[in-house]
Amino acid sequence: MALQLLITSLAMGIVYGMVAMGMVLIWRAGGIVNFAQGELLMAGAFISYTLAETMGIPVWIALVACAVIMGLVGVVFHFITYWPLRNSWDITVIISTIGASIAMKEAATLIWGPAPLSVEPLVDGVARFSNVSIEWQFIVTIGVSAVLMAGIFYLLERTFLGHILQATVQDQYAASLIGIPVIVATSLTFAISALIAGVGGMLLAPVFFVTSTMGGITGLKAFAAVVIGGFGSVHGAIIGGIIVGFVDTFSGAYISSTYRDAIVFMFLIVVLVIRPQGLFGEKIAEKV
Amino acid sequence: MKKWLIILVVSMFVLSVIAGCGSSPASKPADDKSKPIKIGVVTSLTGERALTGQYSKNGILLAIDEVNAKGGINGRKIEAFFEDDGGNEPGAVNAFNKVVNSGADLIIGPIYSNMDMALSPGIKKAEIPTMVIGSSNDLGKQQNPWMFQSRTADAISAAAIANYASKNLKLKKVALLHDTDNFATGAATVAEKTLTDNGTPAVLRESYNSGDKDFTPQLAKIKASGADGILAWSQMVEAGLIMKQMKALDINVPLIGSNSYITKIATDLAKANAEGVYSVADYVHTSPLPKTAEFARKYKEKYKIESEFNAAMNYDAVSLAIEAFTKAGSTDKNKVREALAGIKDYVGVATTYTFDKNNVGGTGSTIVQLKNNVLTVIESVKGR
Repeated sequence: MALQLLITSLAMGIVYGMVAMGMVLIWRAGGIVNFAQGELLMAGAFISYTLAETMGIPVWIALVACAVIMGLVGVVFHFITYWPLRNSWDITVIISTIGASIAMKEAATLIWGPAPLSVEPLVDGVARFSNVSIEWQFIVTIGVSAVLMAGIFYLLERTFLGHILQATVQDQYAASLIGIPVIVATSLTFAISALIAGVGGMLLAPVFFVTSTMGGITGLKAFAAVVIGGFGSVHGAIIGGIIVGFVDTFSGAYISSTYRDAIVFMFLIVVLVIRPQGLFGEKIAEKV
Repeated sequence: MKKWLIILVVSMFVLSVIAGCGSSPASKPADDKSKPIKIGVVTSLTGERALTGQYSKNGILLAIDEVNAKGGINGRKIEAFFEDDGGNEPGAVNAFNKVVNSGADLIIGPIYSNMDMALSPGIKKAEIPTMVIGSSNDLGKQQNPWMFQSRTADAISAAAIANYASKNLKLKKVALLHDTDNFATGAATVAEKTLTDNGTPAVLRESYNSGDKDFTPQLAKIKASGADGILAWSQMVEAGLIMKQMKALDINVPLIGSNSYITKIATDLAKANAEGVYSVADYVHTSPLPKTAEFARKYKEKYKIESEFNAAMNYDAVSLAIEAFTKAGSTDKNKVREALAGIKDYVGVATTYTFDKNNVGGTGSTIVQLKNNVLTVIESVKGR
């Protein structure tokens, strides 16, 4: 049973990590928490349904197409929820993302209808070894997510483009002075963020079905992952996500399945008490 | 400038008072025969439960269109108006208040017991006959004279599930899996007691929260417990997920679920994994009963999709209301309430209704199995 839970929690954790990574990127670029990150995951799942089921595109091509479309969704999202409000209080932008999350959920219900939808998995069937059986999709999820996150990590840390994005993050004004187009840099960050959340949605769609509410609790747990990992830390978000996945699944099996969500958030509070800056965060002292 | 502003404000105030006086004598008397009968509906049009709301709305409109096509009740047409509860209890209370303020002659409440429980005090205060469609035993226990449960209570259907498992399927080590909402928790408690009374106590009782997606922890525990059968109470999406994840975990024991397990939504989601599932159902669209079959045909004709229990239960609620309005001969709230309470042996689409002293209406349910993707009726359970 433990091995069974181990694989499931790793798959769940890595998806939480992906959504959390998207949140961190937006946090670093705009200094705001995007509460619609879970809904970007939902959008990815619905788009993958349209691509793979309605239009009949082969699933692996649909995965790539979905990523590209989600990138564009991210840019649109950026120009609606962030850019016009960038100079107002942070809280205004945060509320605008909460508004976006509600609007996206209801828009999905209007477009795709209220009935949950099912999507064909990338790899069908169930993998069995010794007494463990697990849907192949979980294993694919772990693989695809790991590759995607590694790719984005490389892009941010090792490439010229990544350095431009990071420079914008550090100081938008200074970046604009040395000729970096801030609008391009921030919209690109939003695009990457939406892309990873959307791919997460497409990977989850075959195992958990596509519903307009699939983003809600995933988004919240990703937020917990961001806090546990430390605000602003990309690798912290991924590790935080995996920790949340483990706490979620194992507490469900060994402590209480009813209170598993409560236990996850209790754990979050404990982390905040012991290490307020998160596992990999830097101590933040507000300058007065 | 300031003076003009004061004059403007004062004149607006005076005008509004005059306008208010003018409209008050025109307000209609309690029972205006020339106006349509208004049925207010509280249901989930948005949010996570929008799907059940869609079915409910369809069922209600089908019943109303039928009676209006026949000329209405004593020449008066019926008109339904819908308020969205957003899929949660506070939303239901707000929607209910709006419906009350819009002057409904009768109200149809949500299919979720949690929301119906939240509405109960308001229903009592509003003194408007209200049909609620939740199945919890607690609804009858409220002894609310204005609240009518037009559904078979879980005391009957949950006991039927448990009896079928231990007596017909001869299961000895049954595991229970349920949502933590009012309906599922109450039903599981009834089933647990019935199983103990039958001498085959449940080996494990596991629960989850509405909206959960991953049931691996619960199912892995059930697998490890060596259970030879699972009884489950869920909403539709969770039912589909549980059937799918059970097969993925190689759990091949009989599953007997609540009504959601055999809805088209759940079986479409679970696909081949739904094969063989049993359910204790309020409504089966393949039922051979003439009234039920006719409803299933009409529903499919109008909405181009197979009907399910949310649609059927709401259709029955409207039919019961029509019966009460006809018998009462007016929309006088007390008369309608008495007419509803007096309904006996009314054959509906889902079951036969007789309201008892606690205003609980439904009297039975049906045990069915999905065989070769066709719902097969196994037996009808008469509860009282």
